Amino acid sequence: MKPAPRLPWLPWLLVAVGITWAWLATRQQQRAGRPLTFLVSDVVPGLVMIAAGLLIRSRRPQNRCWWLLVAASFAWYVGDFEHSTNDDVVLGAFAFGGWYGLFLGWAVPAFPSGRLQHHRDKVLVAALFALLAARSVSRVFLHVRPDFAGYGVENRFLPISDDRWWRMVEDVFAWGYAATMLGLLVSVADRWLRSSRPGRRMVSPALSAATALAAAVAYEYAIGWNADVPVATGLPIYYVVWWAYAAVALALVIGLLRLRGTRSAVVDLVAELGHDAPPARLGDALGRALGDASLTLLPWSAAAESYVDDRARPVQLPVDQPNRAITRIERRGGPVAALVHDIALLEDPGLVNAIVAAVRLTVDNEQLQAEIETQLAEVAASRSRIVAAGDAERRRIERDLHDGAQQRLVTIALALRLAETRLDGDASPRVRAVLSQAVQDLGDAIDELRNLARGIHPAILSESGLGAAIESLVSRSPLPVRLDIDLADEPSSAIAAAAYFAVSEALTNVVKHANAQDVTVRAVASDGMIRVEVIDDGDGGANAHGGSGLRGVADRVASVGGTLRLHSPAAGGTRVEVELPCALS
Amino acid sequence: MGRTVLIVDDQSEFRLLARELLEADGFVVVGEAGDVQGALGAARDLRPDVVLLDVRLPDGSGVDAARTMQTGPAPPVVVLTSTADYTDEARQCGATGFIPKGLLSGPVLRAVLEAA
Repeated sequence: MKPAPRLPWLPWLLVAVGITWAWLATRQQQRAGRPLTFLVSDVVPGLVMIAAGLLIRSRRPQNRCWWLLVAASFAWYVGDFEHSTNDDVVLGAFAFGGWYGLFLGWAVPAFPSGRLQHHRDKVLVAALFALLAARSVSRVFLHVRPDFAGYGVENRFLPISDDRWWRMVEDVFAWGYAATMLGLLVSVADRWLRSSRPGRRMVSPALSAATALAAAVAYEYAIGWNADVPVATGLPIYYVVWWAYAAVALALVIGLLRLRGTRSAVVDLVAELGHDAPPARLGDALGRALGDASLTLLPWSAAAESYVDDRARPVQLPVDQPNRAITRIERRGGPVAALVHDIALLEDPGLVNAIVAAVRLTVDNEQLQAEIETQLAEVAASRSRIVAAGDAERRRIERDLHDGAQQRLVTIALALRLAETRLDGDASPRVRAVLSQAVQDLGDAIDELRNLARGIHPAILSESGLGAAIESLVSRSPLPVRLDIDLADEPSSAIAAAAYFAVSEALTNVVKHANAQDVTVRAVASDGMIRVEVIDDGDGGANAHGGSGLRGVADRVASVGGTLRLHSPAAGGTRVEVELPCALS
Repeated sequence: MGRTVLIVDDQSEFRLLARELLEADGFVVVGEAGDVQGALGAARDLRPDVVLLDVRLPDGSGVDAARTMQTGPAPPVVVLTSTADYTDEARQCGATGFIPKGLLSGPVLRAVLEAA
């Protein structure tokens, strides 16, 4: 959130004072009979400066550029008071009329942070100050009236009649001022060349305006100044220079506003991250979104207790790199990552917040994804364990039936049959009939129990393998079934059970519902997968979600990492396809 | 003399009843075994005409034991028995036939042997 500016009434006060100051200045020029073009070209740049300064203050209260522009605005009108009726005022205006150049010349290299980053800029601004100070002192103490331009005031402090010194200072100032402005232009151009895209987006308007200003100033001082230039030619030069100063102030505002465009790119990036963006490539994505190819995202490694690079090697954060800044991203008080980026990005706190939010969002997504994957793996493992435990229990029940009830019934059947053979010839036919019926009923009971045991768990699957178990299934089918089995190695018991019950369920459905004439069962192993198919030419229209049978098979298949597909168009037959890994992972 | 039979089953009651049923029908039961190892040893030592072999044994599969018996110089006739259906398995392992345990009797065994 943007911090609320302190002294909220200050802008209104400055606007009121600035307008009053401009009005008073304009009155002085009106008194001198200046034309309307002159008046407009004189008053508007100052108002543009104060407006630009206050706009920057409203957007970036911490940015020092705003007061440099406001100061330039107030200094702008000082020279107009050379036409005052008060000699002291005229002297002050004459001596201090050009100081707006210092504030603007300071603001341009200090943009966008408001601080002079480079030593050369500090030297150049100091040179500007020295030149202006020397000229002011010269105009107060060394000036001899009338000067070459025919204006100014009497030197009332020193009895000087020779204007050589004053002229020398004025000449030095003119060439020095133009050279310093050109130096600042070169410095800004150099910064532009070294900046990344967001930095250039901000600096470009200021660079353009500063170029125009430097050219105009150079022309004004190197050619126009001290030359015998007619007023008709000289005034337009002044107009160009003045509007160039206004353009500089305006360019600084435009530069800051252009950075906001970069924020929308980050917003797009955040939206993109919400869909599909590998967290590991977030740094690259941010770099692309911001146009800062040198942007580096260094995640924090809790294990290494350090920021790490893309190969998980601990790295030290760079310090004291020109035009580079480090944004540390934290979450719940702990470090998450560090972003090394163009210092220009710091000029837009909203942009930085968006970047931080994007990184946090990605890290959260990554952690959430990892947690979900872990939970999914746990659920899958749990489901496999449940199915395996169920299978083990089914095998135990089947074995209990086999070893217990079935064996007892078999023994009883044999005993009855033995008794039947040992009956004397004179045994009652009714006794023989009852005994025979008992043997018959017992045989039926054994068959039913055997079918029940097979449904719980087919013993043949455990003892003879999947291929034999499927052959057994097919052999019991009342329909003719073509069989194609090619299983090189026996799969694990869970995989074999899943395949067996899939075939069993599919064949049962064919017999019950399909009205099929042709049925094929295929079980083939290749490339580490077992593909089981049951195909019929029946009525079709089967639904995997219609009953519990195929759905249960699908669940069982999924529990071992397999898939079940059902193709069953109406009147188009049915194909049940099951793919299973040969071994559990 | 009837054909000699080796009965292999882990249930002693089944072996006893099977012996009586078969002997009542003229077969000569020359031995019994309760597991695969015993079955292989008895088949080698007693050289029975027929081995009545349960599929599910404590130390292994009767199907595998049948295969092993078929590798000897004078392989016996093997008939598998079980409460489950092992008809196809019997065919594949070289056994002569398969008899559900509940249906075992001398005539049934004879029918299976004659059908082979």
